[in-house]
Order: sequence, then structure tokens, then C-alpha cells
Amino acid sequence: MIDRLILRMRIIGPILGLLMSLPVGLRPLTAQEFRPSAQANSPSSRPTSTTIVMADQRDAAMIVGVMGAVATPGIYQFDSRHVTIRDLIEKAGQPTQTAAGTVRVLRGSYVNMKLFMPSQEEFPLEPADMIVVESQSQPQHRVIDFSRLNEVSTESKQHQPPAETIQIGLVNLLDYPMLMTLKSVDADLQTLLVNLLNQAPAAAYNLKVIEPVAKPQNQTPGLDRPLLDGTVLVFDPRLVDRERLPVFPAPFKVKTVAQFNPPDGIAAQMSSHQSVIPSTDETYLPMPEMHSPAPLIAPQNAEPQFEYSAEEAARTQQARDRIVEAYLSTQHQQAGSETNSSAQAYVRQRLPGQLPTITPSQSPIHRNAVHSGSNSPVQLTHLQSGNSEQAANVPIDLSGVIEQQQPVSNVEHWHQPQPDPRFMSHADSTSVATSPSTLSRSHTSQPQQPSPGDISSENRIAQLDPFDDIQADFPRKQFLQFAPQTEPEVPLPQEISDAFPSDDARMERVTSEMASHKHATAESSVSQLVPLPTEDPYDIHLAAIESRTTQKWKIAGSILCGIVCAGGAYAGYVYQKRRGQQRSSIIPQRASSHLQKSPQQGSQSTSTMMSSTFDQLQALIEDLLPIEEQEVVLQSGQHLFGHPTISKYLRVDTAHLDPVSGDHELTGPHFARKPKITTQPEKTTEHSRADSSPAQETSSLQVEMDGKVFRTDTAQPTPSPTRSPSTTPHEQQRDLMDRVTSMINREKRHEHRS
Amino acid sequence: MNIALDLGSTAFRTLRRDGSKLVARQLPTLYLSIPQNTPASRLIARAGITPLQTDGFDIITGQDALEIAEFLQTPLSTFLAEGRVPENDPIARQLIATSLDALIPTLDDEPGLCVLALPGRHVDLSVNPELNYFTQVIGLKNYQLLPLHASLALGLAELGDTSFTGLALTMGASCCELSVIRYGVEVAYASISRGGFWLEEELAQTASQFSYTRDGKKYLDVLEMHRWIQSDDASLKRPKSDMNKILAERFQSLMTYLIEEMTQQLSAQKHALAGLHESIPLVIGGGLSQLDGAHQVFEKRLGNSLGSVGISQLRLVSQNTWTICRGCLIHAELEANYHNSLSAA
Repeated sequence: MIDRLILRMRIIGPILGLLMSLPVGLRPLTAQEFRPSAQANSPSSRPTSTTIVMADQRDAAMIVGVMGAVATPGIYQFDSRHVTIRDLIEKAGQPTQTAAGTVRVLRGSYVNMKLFMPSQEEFPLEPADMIVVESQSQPQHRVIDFSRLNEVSTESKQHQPPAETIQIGLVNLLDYPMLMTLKSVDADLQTLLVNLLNQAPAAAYNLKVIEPVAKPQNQTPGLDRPLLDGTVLVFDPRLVDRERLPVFPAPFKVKTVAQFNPPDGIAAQMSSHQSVIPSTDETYLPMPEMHSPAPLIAPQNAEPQFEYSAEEAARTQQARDRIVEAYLSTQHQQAGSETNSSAQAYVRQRLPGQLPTITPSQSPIHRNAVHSGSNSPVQLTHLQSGNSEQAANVPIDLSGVIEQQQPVSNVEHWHQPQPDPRFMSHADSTSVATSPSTLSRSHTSQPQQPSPGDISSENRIAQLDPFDDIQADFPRKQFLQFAPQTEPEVPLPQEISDAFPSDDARMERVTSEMASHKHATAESSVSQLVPLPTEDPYDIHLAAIESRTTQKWKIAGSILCGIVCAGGAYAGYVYQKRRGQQRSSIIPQRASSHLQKSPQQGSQSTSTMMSSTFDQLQALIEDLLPIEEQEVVLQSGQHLFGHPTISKYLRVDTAHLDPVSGDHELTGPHFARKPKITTQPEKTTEHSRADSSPAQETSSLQVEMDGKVFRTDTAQPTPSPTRSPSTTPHEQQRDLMDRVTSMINREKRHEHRS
Repeated sequence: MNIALDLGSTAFRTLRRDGSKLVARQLPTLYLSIPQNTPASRLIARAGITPLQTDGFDIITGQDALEIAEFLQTPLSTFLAEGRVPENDPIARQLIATSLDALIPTLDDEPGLCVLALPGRHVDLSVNPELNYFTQVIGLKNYQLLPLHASLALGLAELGDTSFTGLALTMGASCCELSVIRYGVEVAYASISRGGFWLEEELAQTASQFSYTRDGKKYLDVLEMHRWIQSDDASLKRPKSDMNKILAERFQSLMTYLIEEMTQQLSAQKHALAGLHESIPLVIGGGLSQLDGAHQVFEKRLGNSLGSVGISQLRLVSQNTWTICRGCLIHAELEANYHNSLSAA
């Protein structure tokens, strides 16, 4: 009773709180409140330092992955959100001859469903889905033969020579799945996590490994766990350090011919790639950065020159000045005019003369941007904290300067850092194929590295995206430059300073260790990744004093525990001895009686077991055994497949009639005779309403059963324009407040009855 | 290890023996589907309830579903619509499998025996189309399935003092079943497709107990009727109020239909009842048998015989949730002992 009351209060409490928080009555929810809670809580939707929030997210990138028994496994990016399994497999070059006819769909970290092809090939995919086309050579799941109950067999994989390369799927590592092909000798978790992905070993502790064999999927794997071909690793996105990830190839874009006009330089590559994946109506665009990493750092002469109109240039200049003024006003409160001028010069130096064109992010590796369709308003808002908070609150309307039709490769790729050469060595076409576009990498020219005289990538990025640079560099610069000057400290003797290091020295040591940990190379061992803390000698001295003080109490406690344990063991021994004596006095009698019945069933131990079983069976029949009820709760957050059928037999409106036969859903086993249903429009008067409401013409049903006629009218009577909307009780109950009130009254009635 | 499984229309229950005690588990078989990203779903999330998720809907099960359905005025759905596994409801089928997975522990060593009391009326259990579904689901837990009528399980649980000989009548939610048991063997079986649900729907229809969903759809508020029947206000002995008069009338109608149908079905099995010359006791269980005044109605309407079978004693099972499960477990233990003795011989 108390639990029910608590549960009801849990439901009613937030509702009443919500209602009381409303200023005047009920109001419609805003668009922000209509956002799904799960999306609002997801890590990808948390506000970062710079977030571009678009008005419409329906045209977000549809990036899905396919692996397993297909011709070209990889990550594909579609320009349409309506993508089915068949579409994806067609883009991946159709299943191979070893395909088993089943597809496993991995969605996020909680969905792992198995579908059968081709009956379920129209299953719609969601963004970031990863599908695994299972092959016949993969070991099947556990099979239980019910005709042979004593044998529970698992069809194991036949002894086959290990493949040289294996495919590993990575989910939740980025905002879309990834696919890697590793050498089988290097395929273990430690190599993958530490050496290839540059992640801390702790990322494996919440890792979900989905293997093609039937094993518990939620177990925590060890770092030396070998990975099988077709294994999918589902990461916890909270534990993934994206900054340390190597540069992955971009997804393989799929565009239609009508929408895509390839540049001249890659037309030949497209034609060669089309020979790999024949298609009549669609072409496949290999991402330029896949076979030319050089554009990741833009050459100096490749800076885009945009022509602005006078109005746009004035608006841009005005926005930039607002940022500068807002920032400098903050600086003015903390420093003098001299520092103000230096900061102003720094800001004006950092801000470019022209704002670059912002194109929709095709690769969400380093941009937290979601683009909408063309001509949609874009609002850029700073969400940073610190000294530039005022500047952060200055919204800039960039709708006038954004050009959605610009090619993809001018800005976005420059923001991506240089690929990790260690990863690139693994990602070579001989060992690693992270994308289908690796096929085109092998026969394309190597990218041109930037010349030494070119501007560095950091400065280039700073010029192109001033907001990231401002928030990243200015607080630190301000701290270093405008730190308050304190009196110089008297230097301590060397012995004292060595024995008791100052806070600054310890801070420097910790900072250096953190930096070394941050830039730990892949060759470093696991122990080197975790810096060991050094203890302060003063702390050690205090710990020794404390340990000596408490040592006496610990010894006394140990002695006391030992005495208690010895007493308990002796009591248990005495109890077992007495019970054995009692059992020995009972067992011979029943054993002898049982042996008289079946003398061929020999030993005394068997007879005691049988007598015990008979006793328990007799107690079960006489209902003498106590029942201990265990609480069972279904696993929350589990994802089910399919749509629920809302209509049930309890509902009697016309929506639940069978359109073919016209039978009512109540004509199940609950009724011995099938009722006759007649549909006729009639003039009905609402009998349940005492008021003199006008008659309405509604389509009603009459169900005849057992000589009686039951009328079931349509769902809701059409509201009459002459009637007040709050005259009927049912219409009054539409409001949430009324429902809450009726709920409370109902509760009171129940309590009064009880 | 053996286990008993009672797939009732209102709850799934399991019972197994663990040493000198019985371990029981149960799950209600009602669920509520609420569209996602709606105010109702957000309110549920704020209440701290984590639902199951499907394509566009939040699924709430158990006691939470009962509470929220009453509050949001949303009709409930059952796992077993009218005692049958629904063929066109994938959510219900998955919920059945998930519930069984949570209720039944997995056997690692050697397979066990699972005695199942199927819901609904099934004249011939061997040709039951739902048996294949349950065989596959329970087989994943390393159990061999053995189906059973709920009435036979009731008889095994309550007729131990008469050598498992007698009549057992269950008045469940979706149907009423009768088994004629002789020395633990079911010699005749009869059933009708009316039960507690039928009575609740009849009461709701007669009393015009309708309610409306949020989108204006009209539905029978049988949940309110169910609560009223289980309360102390519902009585068959003193029908003073209008609702009690309607209840008494409908219950009498149900008894009339039950006696007529079962007499007719038992008369068709006269050859199986030829060995029964003496009167045997009748055990009545189920939710409807717990109504106040039901014992007097049974005595008055049944008399000394049901069809050609004489009744020597009328017993009403005390309100015990685990009676059917206990009968199934008795059957499982007896079968296991029989197989063990065969293997030992």
C-alpha cells in the first residue's frame, strides 16, 4: 500500500509541480520542450564550446555501415534519410556467395536484432546503424536439440585456417560507425585500443563486444582478448577521448548523378571506381581527403576568395566589431589601458579580414555542426564560459553570408588534423581498409605535402575559425599576461625544498606528467599511460603516526574477531553433530522400508536421497513447503522491435471493426455466438446527459447478443456549435487539471472504501 | 531441476523447489504503449519510470502500467489476448519471451522439466499451435516442455488426500475449465470461453462504464470493473445495490451457461467416464470463485452432480496465487521421479 502510494506520488508530484510552475493555466509547449529527452541527454547534444544550432535537423547526414559478407564493406553516407537494408547492401555491392541470409542490425548500444533476408530487407535504417551481413562460414549460435535432451550441442566452427585480415566494427566511437580491417595477428583489444585508437585502457571496462558466436555479450573483456572476424565493439561514448583518436577516413558518400557534378580531377577516379561497383543510376563519390590527405592542411594559395556584397561585408564587419568590443569591455575591467590595447591588437590580428564560407559539415569529426537545408537561417552562438562570456552571448546572424552551394572541400577538410602516421601505416591498403574508398586509394596519386614555407596548420585554422581560437587561447593568455604580481618568495634551503616540494613544483610535475600522458605514443606501455602519484614525505610521516596509534586497536579487534569465529565454528560443529545423530536414527528405518519395496536399488545413500525426495514431494503435495517470492523486474531500457497494436478487444468504437468481415473485436472466445452487427445512421439522443442537448446524427452500431441489444456509438460525438465546450463531463476531462482532480477523487473513494 | 510455469491471463508465474522451500516469481501480463516524445512520455520519464522502448513507443509493464493507465486514461493491452499468443502483435510476442527469460532461470548442466499450464481453452494440447512457440522459448533455457491443463494442475494441487481423484474446475480470467481426474490422470475435459474478463465486460457494458482516450476514442473501462469485483463491495449474497444485482444476474447467467456446456461436453465423453461409479469431490478455483457468496451459488446450482459425474464434496480453494503452479510442480516432480526410476531400473 505504501509502495503504491509512493508510486502514485511519484507520478502526481511532478505533474502538480509542472502545473504550478505554469504562470497562467496551461500553455502550449515550446519547440525546445518538444525535443526528445533522450536526445537532450545524449552526449552529442550537450552544448560544447561552439555549437551551431540549426532550425531543422531533418536533413542531417545519414551515415550507416555495413560489414560482413558483402562485396565492399564500409561506411556509407546517404543524402536521404529513408534508407533500407536493401539500399545499403546494394550500395555495398550485393552479398557475396557466402552470405547466410541473415543480417544483424546494431543500433546505438542497446539494439542487437537479427533479421532475415530477403523477407525483411525493407527494414528502415537509422543514422549510425551498423549492419553485419552474416556469412555461412561464421559459427552459428547455440542450438539445442530437444529430441536428445542429454546432449546440448553447440555447432562449432569447422577448423579453418585463420584469415589474414579480419573486419572489426566500431560503434559509438564517433557519431557514426566505423569499420576497420586488421591483421589477425594484431587483432586484440590492447592493440586496437592503445596502439591504434590511442585510448586509455580504461575504455575497455565499459566496452560491449558483440561476437559472432553465442557468448554473453555484456561481459567485461580483458585487454588480451583476441578479436574474431566480424566482431563489433560498442563503445561507451562517455569514455571515448575523441581528441586522441586518429583521423579516420570520411564516410563513403552516395549521391545521384543528377545531383552530383564531379570535378574534372576526379572524374577518372570515379570511372575507375564505378568499374568496381557497377551501378546504372548512381555514382559513388570518393571523398577527396581519402586519397589526398594534403587538403587537411590547406595550401596558402588555396584560400577561398569570396566576393561579398557591400551589405554583407558591412554586416560581417559589424558582427566582428561586436565581438571585439564585448571582449575588450571584459578585459577593461581587469586590466589597464595598456593591456587593453595589446589584447585589442591580438583580437584584431586573430580575426580575419573576411569571414570564410561555412559549409555544412560532412564529417562530424571536429565540428559540432548540424546543417539544415538550403536557405535555412543559421544562428551562431557562443556557449563558452570565462572572460569572454559577454562575447559569447552575442548572436550573429550569418544567414546572409552562408553559401550552401559551395563545394565540400574548401573549409571542412582543413579543420581536420594531420592523420596519425602510425594509424596510416596500419591503414595502408595492404593491412587496413577502413572504407570502401580504400579501393580507390591504391591507384590514386599520393597527396602533396605542404611546403615548409606554407603557413602552419594551427595558424591556418585560427584564421579560418576565429571563435575556436578565441576561446582556446585567450583565457590562458590572459591568465599568463595579467596575473597579479606578488612579492618574491624567500628561497628555502635546498634540503628543505627537496624534502618538501612546494605547490608550484608539484603542480609542474603533475602538469608534465599529464602532458606526457596526453601525448603518450602508441609504443608506450599501459603502465606508462597511467601516471603513478608520488607521495609527500609529510603525508607518509603522518600516516606512520596514525598507523602506530591505531595498531593496538586493530590487534585487539583481530583477537576479538578470532574468538567470535572460533565460537561460531564450535557451535556449528555441535549443531552438525547433533543433527547427524538425529538423522542416523531416522535414516535406517526409512531406508529399510524403501529397500523392502525395491531391494534391487541398493545403496544406503541412494535410499536416503530417495526418502528425502519422497518427503519433500509429500510436503509439496500437502502444501507444507514455505514459498519465498522473488521480485522480478523486466530489464529497463530494452529495445523491442515492431509497432504495438493499439487496438485491443476492450475498445468498442468503430475503429476496431474488421474492415473485411465487419466483425467486432468483441466476437472472440468471450462470446458464444457471433453477434449481428448493423450499421445504420440514426438520430440518437445522448441518454447519459441530463441536459437538453440537441440530437445528433452519428453512425452507431447495434450489437445483438443473448436477445439484448448493445449500442456502441462512434468514438466521440461531434461537438455542436451551439453547445458550450465545457458542458459534458467527458469533454471537461480532456483537460489535464481535471484529470488530475478526478484521479485524486478516485483515490479518495478507494481509500474510503478500504 | 524442474519448474512449474503458469501462463495466466493476468500474470505469469513460476515455481520451483530450492531445497526445502519453494521459490516463486510472477510478472503481470499487462502493458501500456505510449507514443514517444509526447507529454505523457515525458511525464513518465520525470516520474522515474524507465520504460521499454520500441519504434516510436514507450512500453510500460507491470504495476506501473496499471497505475499509469488509470491516470492517463489509456486502455491496457495484454500479453495474451483472450488467452492466446497474438500472431499480429510483435510487441506482445517479444514481451512474452522477455518475461519468460526473466522468470525462468537457465540450466547449465542437464536439461530440466518445465510443466506449463497453458492459458485459454485447449481441448487437444498436442495440436496447440502456440505450443511450438513456447517450446522454442523455454527450450532456450534448457527445459523440456510438458503442457498441462490448468484444471488438471488444480486437481493435482488440491486432491492429494483422495489419491488425485476428483473434479477440478477453474474459473479463470479468459475461460473456465473442468477436468475429471482419476488417480492423477485426466480422463475427461470440458471448457467454455467465458470467465472473469467476460463478466467484467458485461458489467461495464450494462453499467455504461466507458472512458475516453486522450485522442477521443471510446473504450470499455473494465479496469474499474475489475477493481470493483475484487473489492468488498461486490457480493453475491446480498445484492442490495444495482451493481450487485447486475453482478448476481450475470454470475447466474455464467453458471447456467457453464453447467449446460460442460454437461453437454462430458456427455460426449461417456466412454472415458465409464469407470467412475462413485461420487468424487469437486474443487473450484480461480478468481471468480473468490467472490463473496460464490460457495452458496455453486451448492445451489451444481447440486450433487455435474452431468453424469456425482459430486461428493464441494471445495473452494482458498485464495492462493500459487495453486496452479504447485499442481504443475507436483506433476513435474512425479514425472521426474518416474523417469529416474526407469533410468535406475
